[in-house]
Amino acid sequence: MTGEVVPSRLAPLSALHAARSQGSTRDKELDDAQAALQLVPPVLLRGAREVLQRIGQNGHGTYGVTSTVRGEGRTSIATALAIAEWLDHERRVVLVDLDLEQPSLHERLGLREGPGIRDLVQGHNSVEDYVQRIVGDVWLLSAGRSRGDAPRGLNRLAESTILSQLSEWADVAVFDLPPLLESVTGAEAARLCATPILVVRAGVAPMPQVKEAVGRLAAPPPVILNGVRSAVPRWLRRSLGDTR
Amino acid sequence: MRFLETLFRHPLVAILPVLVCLLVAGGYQASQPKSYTSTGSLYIDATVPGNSPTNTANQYVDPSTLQQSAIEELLTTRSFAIAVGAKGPLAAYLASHPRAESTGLAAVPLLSNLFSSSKGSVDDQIANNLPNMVTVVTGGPQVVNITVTAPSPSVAAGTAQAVIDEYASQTTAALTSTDQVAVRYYDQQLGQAEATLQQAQQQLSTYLAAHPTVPATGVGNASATELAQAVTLDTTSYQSVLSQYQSAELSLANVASQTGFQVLDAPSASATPVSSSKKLLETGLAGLVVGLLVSVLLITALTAADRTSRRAEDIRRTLGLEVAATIGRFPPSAAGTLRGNEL
Repeated sequence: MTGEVVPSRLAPLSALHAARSQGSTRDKELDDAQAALQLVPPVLLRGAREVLQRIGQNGHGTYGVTSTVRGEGRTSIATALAIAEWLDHERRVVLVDLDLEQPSLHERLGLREGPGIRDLVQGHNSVEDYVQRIVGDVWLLSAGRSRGDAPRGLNRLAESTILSQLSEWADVAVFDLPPLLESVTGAEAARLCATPILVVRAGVAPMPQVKEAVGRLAAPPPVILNGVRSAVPRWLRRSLGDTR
Repeated sequence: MRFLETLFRHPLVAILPVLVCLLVAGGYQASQPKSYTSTGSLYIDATVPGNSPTNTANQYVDPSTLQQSAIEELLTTRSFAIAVGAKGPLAAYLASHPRAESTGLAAVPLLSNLFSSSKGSVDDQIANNLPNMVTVVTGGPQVVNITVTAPSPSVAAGTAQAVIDEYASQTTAALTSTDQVAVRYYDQQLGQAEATLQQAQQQLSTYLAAHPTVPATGVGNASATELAQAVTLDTTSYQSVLSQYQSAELSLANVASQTGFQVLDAPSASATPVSSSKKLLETGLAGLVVGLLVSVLLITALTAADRTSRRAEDIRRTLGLEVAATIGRFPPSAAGTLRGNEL
């Protein structure tokens, strides 16, 4: 495996540079990095890096990605954040599906539905036994198989040692949170993470609803505006002074 | 910028109203009957007192402008319009073509029934339509052109001639009335002057008969001189009134030649219909303007109805939050195992 196939626009990847510098001894890492890049499109990865820089986390912590309604890109962005953390900083990242009502992360990543959080909260098992490897040092803790009472499951999670186990086991935990207005557990799940990030998809949720969603969070969250594309031709935008 | 975003996101909303309005305008124009014009030119005689402005405020108004205003005013009156219709072929034409008066929106097939309910008698139709059929313009300081647009060449020429004739008739009637009053007045004055003169002559004759030594000229006799001077004065007065009376009578006799205008070019029937390209262009432009207006209103309404965020500025303005990152759209094919974020 060589580095030629890696897209040049994603050049500053420490894992790839390391692999190149150390020759074939790190072929496995190179393969993993390329597999990670297959998972997330460049534009998404750029956005994830941008938001990580803005948030300014220094290697340890929990991010939660939430939104106002479903379909705003929470899962994709959570995945991109996890991949970016591993690719750029070689951190161990665990991606946690906290959308207990409608979990989808495992499907998107082509992994098993469980066992996951719902199974974990039932007993006294170790987190390490329930995580599934996505790529490299990026891991998934799925929502689990059973479809019980989501608020109850979340309460048990809050009361358990699972979150502290995750903090110890991984450098970074990225939570795929349920939407704030379309899920009964949205706001409660957001409280479980240190930094909830709000994804707003252009043209989806009306601003009054977004405002209501922000109001349900303990503090104003960092916002990612997703799916932005101006329909106005570039030449017209430029002539009107819009240089973006 | 949001307006432009909406415009480019919904191009059909912008284009369709314009297309529909253009089609309606084209259909309307196509449904219009052919029209013919006929023009008659009048030469306005500036030496006629009636053609010179008496008001000093209007002293620079051309004689042709005065006549133009007079004709246009008359066209708005029902009696003049009906008289024109009766004099020319218009009344007969409208009586034989009940739908020929369809103009404006009434010409649109779907709306014709709506408008047909407002149809009245032929006189009403003439009174309503004649002002729109006739155009009066000045061709210079002393020339007035009267153009009539009608559905047939003969109706156009006949109606144009009828307008000129009726205008001449109205002018003549007004002048006749004035001259008749003048003749009556001077006739009365003449009678009085004649009686006064006869009385003065009688007094002089009586005095001379009573005083045979006094010469007929009254020279040397104060009373006779006074009576002779009275006769001379009354004679002068009588002749003056007689002159004015004769002038008024002459004016009455020649009233037809004192209308202040003469027909320079008599209206003639043209076999070529009015070119539809100009009308089509005008109607098309009107359709375009209306269509654009509708488009702008629709796009404005859509912009106002869109309460979602489209740009980082929207988030900043509404929520007071800074956007940490903006992610552009990407198709599902670029998303690996993840879904694309295109709507």
